[in-house]
Parts: sequence; C-alpha cells; structure tokens
Amino acid sequence: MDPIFQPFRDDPHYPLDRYEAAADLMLLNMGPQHPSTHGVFRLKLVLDGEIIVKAVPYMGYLHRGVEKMVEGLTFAQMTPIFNKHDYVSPMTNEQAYAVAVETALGIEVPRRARYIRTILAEIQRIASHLLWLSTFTLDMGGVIGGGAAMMMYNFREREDIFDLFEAVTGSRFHYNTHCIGGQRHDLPEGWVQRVRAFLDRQERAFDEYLRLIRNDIFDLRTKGVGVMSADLALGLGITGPNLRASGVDFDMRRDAPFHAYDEVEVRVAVAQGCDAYARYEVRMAEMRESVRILRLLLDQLPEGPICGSKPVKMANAVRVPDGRGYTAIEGPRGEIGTWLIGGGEDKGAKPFRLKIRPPSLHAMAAMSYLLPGHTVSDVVVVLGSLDPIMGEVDR
Amino acid sequence: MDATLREALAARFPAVDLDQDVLLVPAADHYPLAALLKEQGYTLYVTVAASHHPGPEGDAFEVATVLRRPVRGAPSVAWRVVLGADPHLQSLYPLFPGADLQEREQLDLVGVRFDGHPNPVRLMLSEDWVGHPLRKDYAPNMPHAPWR
Amino acid sequence: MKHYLRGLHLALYETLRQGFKPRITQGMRSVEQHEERYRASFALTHNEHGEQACIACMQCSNVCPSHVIEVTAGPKEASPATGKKRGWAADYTLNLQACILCEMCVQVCPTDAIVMVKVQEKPGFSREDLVLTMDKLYANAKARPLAWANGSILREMQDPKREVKP
Repeated sequence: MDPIFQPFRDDPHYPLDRYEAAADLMLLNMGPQHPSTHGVFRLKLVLDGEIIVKAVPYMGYLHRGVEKMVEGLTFAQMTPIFNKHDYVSPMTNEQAYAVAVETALGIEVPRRARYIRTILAEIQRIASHLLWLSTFTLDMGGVIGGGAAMMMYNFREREDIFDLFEAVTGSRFHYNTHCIGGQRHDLPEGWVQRVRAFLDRQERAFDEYLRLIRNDIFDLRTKGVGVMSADLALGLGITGPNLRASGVDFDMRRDAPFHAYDEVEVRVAVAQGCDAYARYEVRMAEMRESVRILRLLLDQLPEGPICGSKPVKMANAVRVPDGRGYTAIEGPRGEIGTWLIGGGEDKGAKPFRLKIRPPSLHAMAAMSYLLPGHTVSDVVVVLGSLDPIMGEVDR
Repeated sequence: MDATLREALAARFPAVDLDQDVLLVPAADHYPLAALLKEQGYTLYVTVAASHHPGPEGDAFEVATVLRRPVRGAPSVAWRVVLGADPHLQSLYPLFPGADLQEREQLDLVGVRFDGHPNPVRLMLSEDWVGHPLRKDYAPNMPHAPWR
Repeated sequence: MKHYLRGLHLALYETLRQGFKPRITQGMRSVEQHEERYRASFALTHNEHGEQACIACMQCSNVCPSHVIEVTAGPKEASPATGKKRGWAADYTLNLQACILCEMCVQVCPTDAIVMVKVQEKPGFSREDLVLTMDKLYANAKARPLAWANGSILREMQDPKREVKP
C-alpha cells in the first residue's frame, strides 16, 4: 500500500487538503440504498482514481428511537421490543436484556433455564453466522457458481433453525421466549432429538460450503484486505469475532461465563491474520465450535423449573429500584451490553434510562480506518467481513 | 477490582470511593482516570452512556463510561461523572478512537458536549433536528401510543 | 488468467456433481405443516358454561407493548350459569396493524379468554379488515384451529415450583 494513505488510515480526521495537491479527487456516495450495505447505510468515499483516500460513514437511517421508547414501557413489555433492533440474532438480544434486569434484581435463573438459554444462543449464533456467510459471499461473488449459490445453501440450514425455534416458541423470528427470571416456553417433546439431527446435517453442510468457497478468487479478494491491528480494534471497542480475528484471545463466553457456559468447555477460535480472511476463518471455526458445544449441552440438559420468578400476570410486576449497572453477554457479533438505570416512572416499573451497547456500531467505526488505500471494490469485502447489522447500529 | 489497580487508583484519586460498583468521579478526573486505566491494561473501550436527571435544583446529567481488560475474568471498571445544567466533559477520543461515534451519539440524543472531540455533530438524527430526544423534558405531551 | 481457468473448472465440476445429488429444493409450506406451537392470529373463547370468558380485567390491554387492544367493560352482572357476579366485556378490539404477535396478552389472561390461532388473517382491501372486532374474534375461535397455549398452560409451564418430570 502506498505510504501516502497511511495518515488517513491512522486518523480519519486527517485534513484532505494535505493530500497531493495535483490529485483530481472525486466524491462518491455509497448508499444509503446500496444493495451490499446490509441495510440503509451511507458511506461517503473520497476517491483518487479508484483508490479510496478517505471514507466517512453516515448512519441513522434506521433510527427508531428504541432507547426512548423503552422508557415508556414496563419491564414485562420490553422483551418483544428487544428482539427487533438486531434482526439477525433476536434470541441473544432478548437474553442480554433479561440478564441485565436479573442482575439488577438479583434473581437466580434455574439451571434448566440457563441451559435452554445457552442452547438457543448457540443455535442463534450458527444462524447469524450463516446469514453473514451468505451475504459476505453474495457481495463478493467469490464463490463457485456465483454468490447467490452460497446463499441458497446457507438458507437451507437457516430454515431448519427457524423450524427448531418455531417448535419452541411458536414464532419463526420474533420469539419473545425470555422473561425476567427464566424462559416462557419449555422445550417440547422430541426437540432435543431434532436438534441432534440438525447438527449432523449442519456438520456435513460445512464441508459443502468449503467446497464452494475454497478457490483462488476468494483468497485473492480477502487476504490482506482490511487489516485491523489489535490495538486499533481494542481502542474502537470492537468485540466478538472481529476482535478475535485481530489476534486477541478474548471471549466473554469463556472469560466471564454467563448462562451455562461455565459448565461446558468453550474453545475460542483466534486468528492472527487481522484481515478479512481471518474474520472469515474465525466465524467458520466458531460455527463448528457451536456445534460441538451444542452436543455437550444437549447431553447435560437437566430437568427442572424453567422460571425463577413468578410467571408474569401483570404489566408492572417487575420493579427495578434506583441504581445503575452495566451487564453484557457475548452475542454472535460481540458484546451486547445494557447500561440500566432503574427507578423510572410508575415506581420503578419502567426504566429510567436503558442504553444498549451495540457491537455493530463499534464495528462501523472501523470502516474509516480500514478503507483508505483500498480500491472501491474492496469496500463491500471490508464491510461484509465486519458483519454489521444496521438495525442494531441505529436502534 | 484487583489489588494493583486499587492501589494505583487510591494513590492517584484519593477522593474517589473505590468500594462502589460504579465509581463516582469528579469531572476533572474523568480523562486522567481513563488514561490511568488504559495504562493498567483496560484497553477495551466498552461504552459511554449519558442520562438526563431533572430535579428540583435544576437539570443534572450523568455520563457513565465502561472500560474492560480483555483477559480471563473480563474485569471491567465503570465510572460516572455528574454534570450540571450546561453539560460538557473532556472527550476520550485521544485515548480511545471508538469514542468518536459513541460520544457523537450521546451528544445527539442527550446533548452532552464533549470537549476536544474532532467532529462534534449529530450521529443518528439529521443535523437540523431541534432538541435532544433522550432528555426527560423532550416532547412530554407527545401522544405515546399506539405506534403505527 | 490461471485463477480464472481454475475457477471455471471447479465451477463446472461442482455443477456436474450437484446434478447427480438428491433434490434439495423446498417448497412453500402449508398451514398444516407448521409446528405445534405456531401462533398467527387471535381468538376470544367461551368458558365451559358457554358464556364469554373475558371478564374485562384490562390486563391484556395494559401489558400490550404496542397498545393495540381496547377493551370496554360492561356493567358487572351475575352470571346466568353460576349466579356469581362477574365482569363482562361490552366491546373488545384488537388492531392487527400494529400487533407484533408477542403473546403477552395470552400470557397474562386470568380466564384464558384471549388465545391465539394457527391460521393467519387473510390480506384485506381496507385497513378495517385488519381490525379484529369482538365478532371476528369469536368467529375465529369457532372456525380456526386454536394454538396450543393459553394463559394457564403458559403460567403452569413457568411455575418456579413445577414438579420435575421423572
């Protein structure tokens, strides 16, 4: 890479007029309705020929005011709202919220409910990574038979996952299956056997994906593209697979176990490449690891109650007293956190302030650091490899 | 909070009560505390959350920041700064580049200004938007339901 | 050039190989193939005496996150079947336009009056078609298969002191 782009990679606010005076710069707006931006997201690119000099992200096109909306809702009403801002992994978002309120109130979740949560979270992780894989390869076209072929294969397994979730919750996508203190729905008869059969199919499918992906075009387009150092990733607050692809061996599932992760061994996938290829490697390894964890969890699944507090019978049954705290769990895209201040309206039945910490917003901040020096065609590769969900970025 | 960090914090910030879950820090110590924590290995920038607390003595604002150490046990430090009616605070952008978008979001939605921020404009809402939606006095008579 | 020729060969090989594999295409599923717990629309039920089960306690209206349920309470009168005094709903409207099918109204209903059904509402030509009035809700309960859950089943499932299955 030309060293002239280095100052722009180090500091996205580096003034443009210090770039070569003779250069004929062009302004290109990518988005907000570009098909490969995974939603509505605008990227302002300053181009010298085909090389990006500066990239400025603009967001907020999907801002729905979730944080303001929940200030008017009671804690029992909020779970269905929480599975909507990240519309690719609703299950883990519900869990992040449930864990936050349970921590604030000191409610202990029964062991079976913690196992069910872990199982659902791991299946959701596979579904989320499958959607990432299909869109990543679709954007890039680096797959045998074109990008859409991969998407069809991924969605075959993703449909199976939705069938499994529908069997538990009755809904294919917006589940509302968590409540404060546990689960609202127990696992139905025969569900564990269905998951086992699905895991066997999924394991065979991974080899099929690799046959489609392993080719020179894929390697050429991903290796060395979007290199993010570990220091930059930590400073930006990037978590999850993106952080682990930069060589930082950190996973909340192993390092700060929530749910039932302390009862199974979690092997954390780390790659040293720091580029788009490393992020692909980490996510593929994580899916295989999820299959392994799921088999362990299904073997150990205990019997017992599924809810630690009384079933919800009234809207304002849960009251959180005045106080503040930060809780986080590891979702498919990284650390989903909630900063909760209790003691809001209706004697604490509504939150005073609830801030969602979206892993995708932190990942979007990396765009302006990674892009200078790359060509326009690399934008979709870098964006796709970071796996942002715009609903979660804007909330 | 481990013993080394506790000693370092007690030596540098004697006025801060270290037994709280969320430390209450004066505004002047906000940036030095973040710098000290970064030296101590708390390099993962987790989040910043501002909130508006209207009271009988006038408006108050709180800005909470969370930093984490990416090691086994995932120790984190959260602290909050209480600000007055004209809220402004030192930006953490020189230490953590992730503060760029996060602080812009809080500026946008709550209206806390961050001194030294390189690009203090709205993030989520359009630039001609009036008011800060997450303030408690924002549109109090807004018809709230139903949403459709 | 070398990469592209190799890619072309791989693509042709993979296409040929897939041609001899069993078909994996999946068609659109019909209603009968949905899972046991599938939930789609709403219905109001009658109790075992044939009276309306809703006692107009307003819990569903209070808990609804999108505030789509409107209940008008009628005067409290004695039930003809049991003789006990109870509440009656004079009107009950559920607006499906903003409903997010979260099942919270079913969860809180003390008399299992509001339940969900397995068949979705048909697309209509006006907005009023998506407003489920009391008549439509009672007709749904007769004409469509009910979903598995009602308030007592859900609350029994979530009971913290539930007996452990052997």
